[in-house]
Amino acid sequence: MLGALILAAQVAGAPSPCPPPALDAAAVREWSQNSVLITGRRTGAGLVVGWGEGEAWIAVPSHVIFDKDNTPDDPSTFLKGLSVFLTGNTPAPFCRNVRVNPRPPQGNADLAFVCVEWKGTPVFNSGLIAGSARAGDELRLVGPKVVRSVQGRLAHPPTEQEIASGNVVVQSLVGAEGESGASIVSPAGIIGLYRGHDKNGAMVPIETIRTDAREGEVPWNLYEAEFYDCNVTRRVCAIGEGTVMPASVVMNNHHVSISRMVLLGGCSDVPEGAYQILASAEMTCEPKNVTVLRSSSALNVTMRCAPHMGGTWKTGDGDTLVCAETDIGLAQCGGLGHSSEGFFQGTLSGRGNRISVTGGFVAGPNQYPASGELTWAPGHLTGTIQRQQNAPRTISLTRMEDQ
Amino acid sequence: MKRFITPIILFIPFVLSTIACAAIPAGEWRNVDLRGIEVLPGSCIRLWVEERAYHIQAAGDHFEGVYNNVLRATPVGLPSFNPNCHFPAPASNPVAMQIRGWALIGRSNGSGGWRVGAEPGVAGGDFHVDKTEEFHTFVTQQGNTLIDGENSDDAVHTLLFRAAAPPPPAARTALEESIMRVNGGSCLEVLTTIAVNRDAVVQACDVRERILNLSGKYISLSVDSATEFDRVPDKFPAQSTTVRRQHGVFFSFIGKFERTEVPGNAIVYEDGGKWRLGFLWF
Repeated sequence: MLGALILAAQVAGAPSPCPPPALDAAAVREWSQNSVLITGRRTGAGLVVGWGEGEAWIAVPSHVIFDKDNTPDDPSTFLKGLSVFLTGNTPAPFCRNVRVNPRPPQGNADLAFVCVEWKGTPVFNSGLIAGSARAGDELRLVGPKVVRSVQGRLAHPPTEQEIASGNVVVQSLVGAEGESGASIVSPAGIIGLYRGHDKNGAMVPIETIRTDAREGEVPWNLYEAEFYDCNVTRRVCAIGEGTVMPASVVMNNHHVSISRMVLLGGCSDVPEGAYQILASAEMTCEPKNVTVLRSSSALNVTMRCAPHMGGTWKTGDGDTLVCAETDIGLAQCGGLGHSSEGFFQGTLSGRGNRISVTGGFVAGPNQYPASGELTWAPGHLTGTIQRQQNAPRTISLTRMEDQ
Repeated sequence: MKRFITPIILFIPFVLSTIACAAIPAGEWRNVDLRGIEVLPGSCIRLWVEERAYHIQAAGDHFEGVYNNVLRATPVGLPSFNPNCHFPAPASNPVAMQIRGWALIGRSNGSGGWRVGAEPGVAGGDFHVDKTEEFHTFVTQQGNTLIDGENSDDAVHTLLFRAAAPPPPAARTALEESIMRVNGGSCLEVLTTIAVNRDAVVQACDVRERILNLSGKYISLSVDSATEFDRVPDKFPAQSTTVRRQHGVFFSFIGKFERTEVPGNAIVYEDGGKWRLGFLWF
């Protein structure tokens, strides 16, 4: 009975259980490109949040730059002895034409910004902010001075109050001296900057950093990281364009074992993710991959299909036409040499079931233009090909199995 | 002892038959040059491609067929389709094309190769800058390669034709991954690998981020055409009088975002067995 229920659920396309989101090493590596080393009164790290016109702006816990003086009379005096390393061992020069540099805290948060000259390298990543932070998310510290693995879990998503105060306690994440300013990454992206706090870990949430950057007129280039939560579904509708269409397509997730069939002209609820789209082998369809991201509106995937004309086609009397499909709905073909008209060489083109034939027949040193029209059905081409000045020749071709 | 003798007996007739009677290289064989990138004021850019193809069919002890040469231009990037893009004569049509054809007869030279005679045939297209003259050449087949010329190491004078087939799937994968990364936050990293001017990269990525704000997130990519190529000018993309072998694919595609569709073009090339993005107009 239980087995029957499970089977019924699978047939109905019930969502598969998803594995808990995990940190992706490749993604973490890309996000870490924006984490830079800062030395001065304290040693720590910063996150590059904006860049352009030869400048890079870095968010950093205020105490790393200003120590305990959050309201300095002249912030520029704190540049003395301060070094920002975008890469390597050479500190980057500080921006010259900036009104206030470094920028002291705008509000309550332990957060400052500093601007350095940037010549285009190292390259920074834009898509690294977590779109959401959820209780239980795996967390890790990422920064130039983080040499040991500092991991923990988020007890609860930052509340509005915490965001306003710019301080979220993350008890399970306890870094060491010098790790202030390291990025706190979750599977969905960076959720904040680490700041030590008594014996607990604490962070400045990314929302606070964004708000302070906006209020301080600090450039901002960051947006949400690519992250797929397979517990979240989106309605995907497959639309056919043209006359050659499969009855359905199958969407196979690239990363987890999720597969969904979507009828052409129909819709299905598909978990977030990157998918390969598989259609009938008798057709060539685009697109071949699609990304499903959360949205309340349906995602319309327009399938453009054409007859698959590549391969070897055979006539009833054993003559062959060999075609190489060079584009969707376009194949270069040669063959049919057993006929008295010569060797055919030409193009088959058509995205519907009507296929145009253009080319010519070669007989000895002579060439004769030819044209025709074939009707496609899965695995079959039938119609006429006419060599100039000859009567149209009826032809019926069957596609041989691909080797 | 017997098990050592048997292979030798089988081997000798095989070698003899290979020398005496080479198989006719029937089928379609392709060789494509990326001839260059034409850049006019106003971001009007065209890519020039020269496509050559042998279509060969056995005819008794010799072969017959057709040889085609198509020289064509393709506008790349959205600005290149602007009506204000005026390309110079004689190829003033944005999608200009010169088509030339020859009728072929190939006869064995008795040592595994084929002497080919080609008579001018049908010509077409909307411009004509090259003559279609009778020519003779020598071809040999090695596996999936048809060598047109005497010295396969000579990239300038000897053409290596591929058996017609769809472009390698790895090229498409490299394209899609690069487009995803460009639109997924790694724009600077991807474009830095293909452009020398860092300021241009920063500007291009800035523009891309603004476009993403309007167009919504990247969804998918539909390929319109994929042209596999074999050679490029020696100093490509700069002009050069000589060529070098370089395997790659030129793609035309439509990128789909949440709120819009954008046409694009890209060149991906094979580098030490890996496929990489070389140029992107998107």
